Amino acid sequence: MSATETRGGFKANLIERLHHPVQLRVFITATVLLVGYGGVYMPLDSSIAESTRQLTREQQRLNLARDIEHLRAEQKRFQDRLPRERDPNEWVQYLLGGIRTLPLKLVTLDAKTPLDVGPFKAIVLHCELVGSFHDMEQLLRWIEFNDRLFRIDSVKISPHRSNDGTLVLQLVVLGVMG
Amino acid sequence: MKLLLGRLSPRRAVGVYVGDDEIAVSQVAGTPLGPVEIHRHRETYQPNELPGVLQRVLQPLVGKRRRRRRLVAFALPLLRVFFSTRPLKATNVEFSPKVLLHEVLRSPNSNVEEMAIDMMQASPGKRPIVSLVSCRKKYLSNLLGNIQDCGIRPFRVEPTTCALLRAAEEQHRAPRKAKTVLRLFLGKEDGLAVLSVSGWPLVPRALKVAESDVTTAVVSIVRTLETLGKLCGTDSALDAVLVHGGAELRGQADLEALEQQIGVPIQWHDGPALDNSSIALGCALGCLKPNGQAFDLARSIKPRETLWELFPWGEVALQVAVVICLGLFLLNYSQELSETYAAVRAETARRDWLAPLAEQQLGKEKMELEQRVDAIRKFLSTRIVWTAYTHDIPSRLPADATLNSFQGLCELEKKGKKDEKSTKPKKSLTMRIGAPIAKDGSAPKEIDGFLDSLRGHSLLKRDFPLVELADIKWFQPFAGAQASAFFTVVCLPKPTSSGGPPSAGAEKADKQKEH
Repeated sequence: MSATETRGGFKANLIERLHHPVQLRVFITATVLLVGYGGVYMPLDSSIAESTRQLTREQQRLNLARDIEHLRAEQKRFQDRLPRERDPNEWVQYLLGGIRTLPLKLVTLDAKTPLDVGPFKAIVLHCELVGSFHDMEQLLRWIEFNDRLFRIDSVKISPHRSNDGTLVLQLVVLGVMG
Repeated sequence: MKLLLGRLSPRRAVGVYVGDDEIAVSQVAGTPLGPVEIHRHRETYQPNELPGVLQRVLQPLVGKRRRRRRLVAFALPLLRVFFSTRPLKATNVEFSPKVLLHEVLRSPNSNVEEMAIDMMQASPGKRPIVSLVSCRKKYLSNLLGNIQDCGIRPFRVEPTTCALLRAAEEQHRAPRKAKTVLRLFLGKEDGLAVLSVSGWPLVPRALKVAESDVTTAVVSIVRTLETLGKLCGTDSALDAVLVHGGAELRGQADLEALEQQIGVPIQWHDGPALDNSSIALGCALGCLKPNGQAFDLARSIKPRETLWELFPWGEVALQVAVVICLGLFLLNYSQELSETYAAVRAETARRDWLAPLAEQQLGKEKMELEQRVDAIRKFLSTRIVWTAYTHDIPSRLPADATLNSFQGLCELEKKGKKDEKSTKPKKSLTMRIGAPIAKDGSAPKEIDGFLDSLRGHSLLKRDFPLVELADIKWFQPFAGAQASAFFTVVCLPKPTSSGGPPSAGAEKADKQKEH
């Protein structure tokens, strides 16, 4: 009984209040806002949030893929210049082979402890040669413009102690072994 | 301009004065420049013709049935309405209009049950007052019945006093700071004086105006209303008197003498006069400026407005339009996002190698590749191609000079462990040049030119911009032999630069290999 009366009373009270222009407008505005929020904004907002999340994830993946492709292309440029195996002896033989092509006298050739070049290892070779300036320059050119990745850390060209016009070349050469 | 705006304005209201033998109608339109009267009409009628006249007069103004929600207010004749104002006492805070009317009338013959009453409380001055208007319920019911037969729901039914006062205030405001004002509306033979406080009608009083004695009539009514005003709760003296209408009497009245007699300034305006059209105009103006503090004798009789009639369709349409626009905007944005996502997805789908790899694996691969590429890039970019120097520098030597020794140093930066500082690599170029000394023992001048040419050398500028002459040593192998001077030239990089930009020679050598 009381529930029916309360319902009836509430409805009558609501209708009574709605007869007041300001309260009617507040009620209508609130209803439109509620309908707009619940019926329009919420479903579209959740859809937009989901799409944005998916788009962000996919864009990150695409950016990552592009970066990797770019880095792979960069790596490809020097990949052929790296030997497949890290063998210091093979490097010594390779350098000796280059020296042998020129009329230079090898006095010393020492292989030092390899250096870390990022994830790679670099062989360190100290060598001393005797010969003419022209041949020495040819050797330097062969090293610097080699298929393999060389780097001359130190070069010294000085007159031989015999003072007969020959020169002494002291080199510290680094080569990336892979 | 105002009239043109008024004719275009959709915001219109109609005021109707229903006299005992004449009906006057005024239509006003709200414009940004203020309300403007766009139509007025008067028509006499016989008592039994009222429904037909109302129908005929109002039909063109309110339009067809579906549009009859236009605001229409009515004013009742002065003699049909009882108007009274009294100060509110602390003892009668809660009272009914009927009780108050019964108390005011003090007549055993009057039955308040047969009266339509409306009551308003206000505090226009310092004291609270209560105003009461009343008319015969039977008369009002008949009138409302006629009105409703025309399909019109009256916005308000008010006394002439209120309508006329509103029309006067709209046309001629009271002087500034004038709170208690007496407005005297003059007609052809009679007049109506209304004492108002802050625009609130306090005491109306009808009067007869004779052409020969205008001054006396004005003075008399002013004195009367001043006295009545105090009884009705006015606590301030009269501030101004405004006379409306009675243009033919104006010449007979000596305003200066009148002002001296009553002791307050007087203004005389042509309108609104005490005529039915002005009353109708005041009614119509009341519809355009809705005011909760206005009398409505039909308040308790007229049928209540339904929610359908009250519903603000225009505002709801606007709000719904805003919601729809918001929805369309969000929908459009959502579609744009979906299209962008589809495009990105298509681009990733084109990369077959990408499909089986997770983000973590991709990140790991990217990091490894970055390490490898950076290491090789640094290895090559920080080296110096010495052949560029060994080939170029001897050609720059002076004719008699010889390059005695050439020492170049450009170490690869060796990174220590995390807790150790990375050692700064050594980088320098040292040359020893021999040149014969002239017979007079002076040092060869050509060496200065050589040093200058080294300082202008493009490669040296990049790799070793600091070119300094370190020492000069005199050397003569044996007595009588040609003496020589040995110059040591040291070239160093800029002290601030740690790694420095890649050497031009290194870039060139690298490019040659790549191509």
